[in-house]
Amino acid sequence: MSKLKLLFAGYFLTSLSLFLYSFTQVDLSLTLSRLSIWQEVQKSLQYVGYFQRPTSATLFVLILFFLFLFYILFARLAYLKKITRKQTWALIIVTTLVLMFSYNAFSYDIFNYIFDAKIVTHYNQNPYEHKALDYPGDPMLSFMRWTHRTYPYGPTWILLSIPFSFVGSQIFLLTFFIFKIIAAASFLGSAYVIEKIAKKLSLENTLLPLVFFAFNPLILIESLVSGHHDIVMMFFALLAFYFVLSKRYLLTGIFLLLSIGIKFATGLLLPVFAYIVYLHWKKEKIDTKKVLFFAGGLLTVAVVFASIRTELQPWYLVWVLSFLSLLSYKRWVFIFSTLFSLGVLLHYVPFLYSGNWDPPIPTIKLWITISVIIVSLLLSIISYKLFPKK
Amino acid sequence: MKKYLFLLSSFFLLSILFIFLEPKVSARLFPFVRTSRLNSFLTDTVTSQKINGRTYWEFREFYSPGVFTYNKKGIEETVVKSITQNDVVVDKQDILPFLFFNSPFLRSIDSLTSETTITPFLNPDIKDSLIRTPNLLIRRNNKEIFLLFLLPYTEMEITNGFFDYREKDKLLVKDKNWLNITRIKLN
Repeated sequence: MSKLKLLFAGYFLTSLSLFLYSFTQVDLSLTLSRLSIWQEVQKSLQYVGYFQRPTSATLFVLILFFLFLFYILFARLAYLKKITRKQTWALIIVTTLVLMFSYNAFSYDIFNYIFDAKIVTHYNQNPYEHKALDYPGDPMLSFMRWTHRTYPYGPTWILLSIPFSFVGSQIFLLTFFIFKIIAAASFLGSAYVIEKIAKKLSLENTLLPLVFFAFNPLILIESLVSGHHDIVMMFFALLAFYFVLSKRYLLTGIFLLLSIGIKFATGLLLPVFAYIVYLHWKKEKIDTKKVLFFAGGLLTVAVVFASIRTELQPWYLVWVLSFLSLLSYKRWVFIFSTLFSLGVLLHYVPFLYSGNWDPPIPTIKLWITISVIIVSLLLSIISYKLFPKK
Repeated sequence: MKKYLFLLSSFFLLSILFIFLEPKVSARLFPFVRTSRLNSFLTDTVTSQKINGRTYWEFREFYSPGVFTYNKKGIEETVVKSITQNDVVVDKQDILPFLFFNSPFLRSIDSLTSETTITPFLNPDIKDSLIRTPNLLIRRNNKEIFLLFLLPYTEMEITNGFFDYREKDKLLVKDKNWLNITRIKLN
């Protein structure tokens, strides 16, 4: 077996491990299937997640280690152009197919998305005014969190999710996987658009941004495992970015509005789009590096703002990483984003170990974040000193 | 040009729908909406002489949208004091403040307590209240409205989704009542 094939097999096994691990976190009040064989499997996996917490936390750290190891290896292969487009896409599609069917191990948000749509399709009421707790008889309440909150997102997401909720026919498992498929399709769509943008910008290496994005463990976990709709928002934003570069302004407007209407964060990108349109109008050349840093900077502001309002959530980084992928050829961008992704994913470890988010876990999370920033800075400096740019 | 007109009209239609269907946006944009919600909440409460937990929870978020800080081991004392320090409430040790709500026009603290009435929390000298029952007090001056109520745990269970009532927090909430202290800034 060639080295590359071995690498692919190792990556597939790691993805499969993450898929299996996700089921250790199935909520104790949730029965995914009444099949007796499945119930036995689910119970033994839950036993690890809930009653063997140190083992569970260790397993997660191991999976993270391998995911990051493969991520760095694939990025290197893409950088050296030792991996083909076909191989890359084959891996991305296989990983998506595996993780699409995983359980949302690290976040309960997908249940809230499902319920928000259910308020419209089943209870025929306004989710902006009603919350899950208003329907105490609903069986979903037994395994949901944040049942006291009304729908907090923009109108696009609820409008998009209503038809899927109808298709789900109030069958929980079916609706759950439909919502996971939406996230998976958005992930694949984003990866595809990133590659298209890289080609449009005539980047020297168009495979690197694709690998940077689609193999990043944070993107995989937050989009494919947890099914956060941030990936849907970013898919529309990337599409809008592609169309604005192509001077197709109507499509730009439509997709940008769709994106902003999901979670508002991409509203901060408006100046970037306005600047590109202005440059087109003035018939001036676009400095892509400047534009991408501008976009990445504004999305970082959005992350900081959202984090101050509540707290830093790992999935917020999906916003920044989507655009930074196009700057992945910058060494410090790669170092920072990789370490930061690792740092925020490590936020889950104290929870997996203890089963709660109570103090001192917020302090531990803060220290992880601070350490990651310091280490990233140091590593960037050391790397430029040891291997100066040619 | 027609294409852009379609885009603009869709945007405006969606925005108008959003403003009307999302109560938090209208509360932020229009002070009269806030006033109307406050008046309606006060009228209902004064008329019925009791408070409904769900109605209060909804009013709090729709009057002035804000941010919750939850800590079941207790909210910082300085934060709690910023709401409880006045001539109405007396210092009381037997409470566990677990939720702080902060918004431009409304700040509140939700706590767990073993007390069964609000009397032990009140300064005995206070007069001039809009309502004063064993479980509810509302006072009003030119600047703000002060609200204090106590409801049974069962009412909290159907209103507040922060706790895991079935498993993790079962012992924490057992035999406890829900105490709320709210300060509402008038427009």
